[in-house]
Amino acid sequence: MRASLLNLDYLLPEWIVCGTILVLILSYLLGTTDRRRLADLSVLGLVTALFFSVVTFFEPAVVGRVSIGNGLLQVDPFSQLFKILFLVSTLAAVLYSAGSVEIHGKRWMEFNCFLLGVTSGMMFLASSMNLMMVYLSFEMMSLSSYVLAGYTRGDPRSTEAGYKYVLFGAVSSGVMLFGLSLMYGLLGTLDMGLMAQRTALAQFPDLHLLLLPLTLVFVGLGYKIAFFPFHYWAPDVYEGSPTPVTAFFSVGTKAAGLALLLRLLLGTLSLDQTQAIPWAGDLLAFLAAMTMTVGNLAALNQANIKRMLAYSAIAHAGYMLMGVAVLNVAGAEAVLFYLFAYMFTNLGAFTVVVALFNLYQSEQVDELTGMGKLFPLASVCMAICLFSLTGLPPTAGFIGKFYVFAAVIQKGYFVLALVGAINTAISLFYYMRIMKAFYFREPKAEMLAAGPMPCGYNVLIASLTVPVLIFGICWSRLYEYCSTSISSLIAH
Amino acid sequence: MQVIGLTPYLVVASTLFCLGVFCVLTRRNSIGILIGVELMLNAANVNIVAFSRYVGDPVGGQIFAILVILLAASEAVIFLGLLMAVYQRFDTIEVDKVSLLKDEVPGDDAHERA
Repeated sequence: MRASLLNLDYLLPEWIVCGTILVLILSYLLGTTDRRRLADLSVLGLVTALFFSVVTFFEPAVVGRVSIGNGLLQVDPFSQLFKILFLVSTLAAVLYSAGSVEIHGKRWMEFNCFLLGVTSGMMFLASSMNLMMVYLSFEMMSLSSYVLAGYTRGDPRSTEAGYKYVLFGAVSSGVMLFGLSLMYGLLGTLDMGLMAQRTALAQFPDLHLLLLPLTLVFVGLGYKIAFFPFHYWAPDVYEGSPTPVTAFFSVGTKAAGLALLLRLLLGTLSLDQTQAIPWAGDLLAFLAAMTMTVGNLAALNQANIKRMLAYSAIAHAGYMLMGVAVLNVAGAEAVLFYLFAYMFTNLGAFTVVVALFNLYQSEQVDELTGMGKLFPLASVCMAICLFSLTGLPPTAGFIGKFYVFAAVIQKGYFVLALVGAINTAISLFYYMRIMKAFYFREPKAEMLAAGPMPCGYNVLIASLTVPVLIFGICWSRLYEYCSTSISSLIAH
Repeated sequence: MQVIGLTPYLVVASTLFCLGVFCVLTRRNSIGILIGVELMLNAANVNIVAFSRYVGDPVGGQIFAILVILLAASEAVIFLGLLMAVYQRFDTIEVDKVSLLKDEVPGDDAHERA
């Protein structure tokens, strides 16, 4: 492991994202108020950051884990893979918002800065190896996302979404901080690498004591990832927020929470010890089962498509938690793969929702009928994404579910696997309700009047759907990368 | 001078934390909830400072404590900012009364009434 204060060059993706914020503000002050020009700037920054994240993922030094700032941060394949995920979802959110009617043109620059602020927080979170850094980057991510949720000032529903988000978010981050402070006291250090050594050497007399701080931290994370019983805020916030923000929350913040959860469970405690904590696996399995059941059952009857996808996002958090509950390497790899599949799929589905909202200002499933006739390409892509969300072959969602279920069955949690299978069947109902409205009903007369879908949205929808199919057919390379990431995470 | 051990600090911190949680759970006024959150954050801070002395890591723990104070302040700013917006739209800061967003079944015209 290379340890030095001066490995700052490995943080190039973070610097680029932070630099892009400054460039945006400066160019705005210098008179570039055109939304498209500013969008070009931030897309340029994000793509460059994405490029460097991919490059560093493959760098041999990074595979050997590079420590930065005396152990405050660590760049390893695990963190880089998550940064790629964050950057792709931010890129999608920037492109959504560039053409969105929900975000007022005059305040688009600030919106974009907040979006990039959340991203940089998430990127630092994925690399954090110190409790102080964990809390700092966690708050960096949260504070900007509260503002994003309440961004549409004219819409009281958006204000309410932001208000509910900050209300529950502040409480859960307080609980999490208390958990972190107890962890600090019990293990005697803020450094997560040192913590791993201390727990592995079993100098620590009683691991059961760690159960309390871990539970408290789990409350904070469970809130971000939207697990049962901390999920109740999610439907309201997802429905009220501007749609580009909803898409971003349903992927980005969930992934960030999972990154920290995996690092704590697998990287900070050694695996044997995590498994030795009584009931940890069973409790997580119970929460996973409850999360997906609650999400899927509530989604069945939703009239609002955004709210339906919010409940579906809760259900998917349940599937991911299933992989975490197994508490072994196979499960963690499955979660990472699932997350990638989910990212492309969910962002693809949300693109259609954003595009249709721009045209019709409607989020009701019953009003968006006959879209299959009006927008063939977008509807086909939506169908593929919904198949993938359900977990039907040949899509990435199927492969992700396959790996998760394989890990669960291997571990012997048959009941959990059964609950998961039943839930998959339930989810088919409400996804197909959207399909039914799109394909088997005639378009309403007033819908015919709206113009064609902007070309940019078609390109975006297609380019998010193609990976869903590609990773559904040749997935082995991506799975390999997930394995590399997890093995770099496991405490040695 | 008598040296105070770790225990009293932990007792104070846990009490503060429990009071904070109680405050959050019982208050219906948003400002009350914010105060509850601040209590929780400060409870954690007392813990951190006490532990930093106890485990002999003065720098790390104290920097963490200062950072927490700073982040608590910025969180309060955002909280109050959103609260202002809520007050302008809803004319109230009672948590129960801000509820445009809720589950609705198809066919129900609740969203139109709202």
